[in-house]
Amino acid sequence: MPKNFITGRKMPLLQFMITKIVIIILSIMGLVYFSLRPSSPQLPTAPLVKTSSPTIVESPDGKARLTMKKTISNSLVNYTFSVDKPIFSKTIASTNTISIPHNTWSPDNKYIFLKENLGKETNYNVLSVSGKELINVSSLFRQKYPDLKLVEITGWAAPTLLILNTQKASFWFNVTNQSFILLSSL
Amino acid sequence: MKRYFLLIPALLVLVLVNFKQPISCANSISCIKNLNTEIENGAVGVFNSQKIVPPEINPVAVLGDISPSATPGEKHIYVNLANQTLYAFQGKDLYMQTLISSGKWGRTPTGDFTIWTKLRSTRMSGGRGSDYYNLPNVPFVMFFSNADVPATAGFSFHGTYWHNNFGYPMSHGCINMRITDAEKLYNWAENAAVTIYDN
Repeated sequence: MPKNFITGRKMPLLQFMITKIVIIILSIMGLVYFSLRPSSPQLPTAPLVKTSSPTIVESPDGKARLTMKKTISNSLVNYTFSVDKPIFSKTIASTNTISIPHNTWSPDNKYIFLKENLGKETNYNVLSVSGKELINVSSLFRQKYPDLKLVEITGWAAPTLLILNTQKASFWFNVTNQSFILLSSL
Repeated sequence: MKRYFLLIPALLVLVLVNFKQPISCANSISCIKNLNTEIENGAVGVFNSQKIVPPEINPVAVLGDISPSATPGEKHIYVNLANQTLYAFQGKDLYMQTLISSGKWGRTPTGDFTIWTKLRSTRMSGGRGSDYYNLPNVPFVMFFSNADVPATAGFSFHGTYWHNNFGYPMSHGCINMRITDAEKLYNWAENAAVTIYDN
């Protein structure tokens, strides 16, 4: 029987045993280290904030600019509108949106109007660029004409006259006295 | 006698078929008075029964900023009345695309036209009653015409400061544009052909 026969059979077993012991020791050391190390202060989880690039809409004469900044935080979206300085800010659920219609600027650059999509409902708001006036035109229209559905506001017929379309008729909304003027039927 | 009974209706049909409705003026008052450059800073306009303050026009810069185009190719302005959109091409390149307002109270003529004059500013007036309008300092005006639509009818592209409802008919026959768009087109449209269509 060759001399290394026994060694040759016993060596793998020995190696296996030593490896196992080393792994167990290292595991114990690791457990001891992680359980005894000084705990780091628990930092509050920062909400995921995402700011998209601003949307800028120039007035038709190129003399004024409306800027919309959108900040998404978890399931909420904050919209900030500025004309030189911030004039309006609103936080809504991320399932809803606020947008700037193409004809947002009044011809004299004194007012803007915004479209707010709230799922089944749409609100149109008029704002003075001074930031002092905010009129929910849709709400006023629903109060005045509960049987009519406001389909869209397309733009401005004159400096203070917004154009409203319903399924049955068109209206002007006079911003200065907040009155509706019935135009010819659609 | 029977022959005459047949002849009279036939003549009537012939007259009706060949009858062309005369093109009325785009601006019923001003196009009869004159179609010249007018700068009236400080004057007040009227539209939809509202007083409108027109933009000030700098008389020194009435020629506008006309810079020679580097892009080769024929210039052509297309206006699609159906979607209220203007497209300006130089050769195959789209120079600009924008929403316009065409005729609501008066029809905008369709066809091929040439621009016969460009005015930095003029007064436009017309209508009557609640539809009366009188608008000084209408900026960046380009009058167009053809054999059927004479120059005296006063149809034009121009900047618009009294309404902001582009994408919807809002004019008395002219092509209303945002002032910035009208300026861009005015400064570019040297020898441009015009096609207005409705589909």
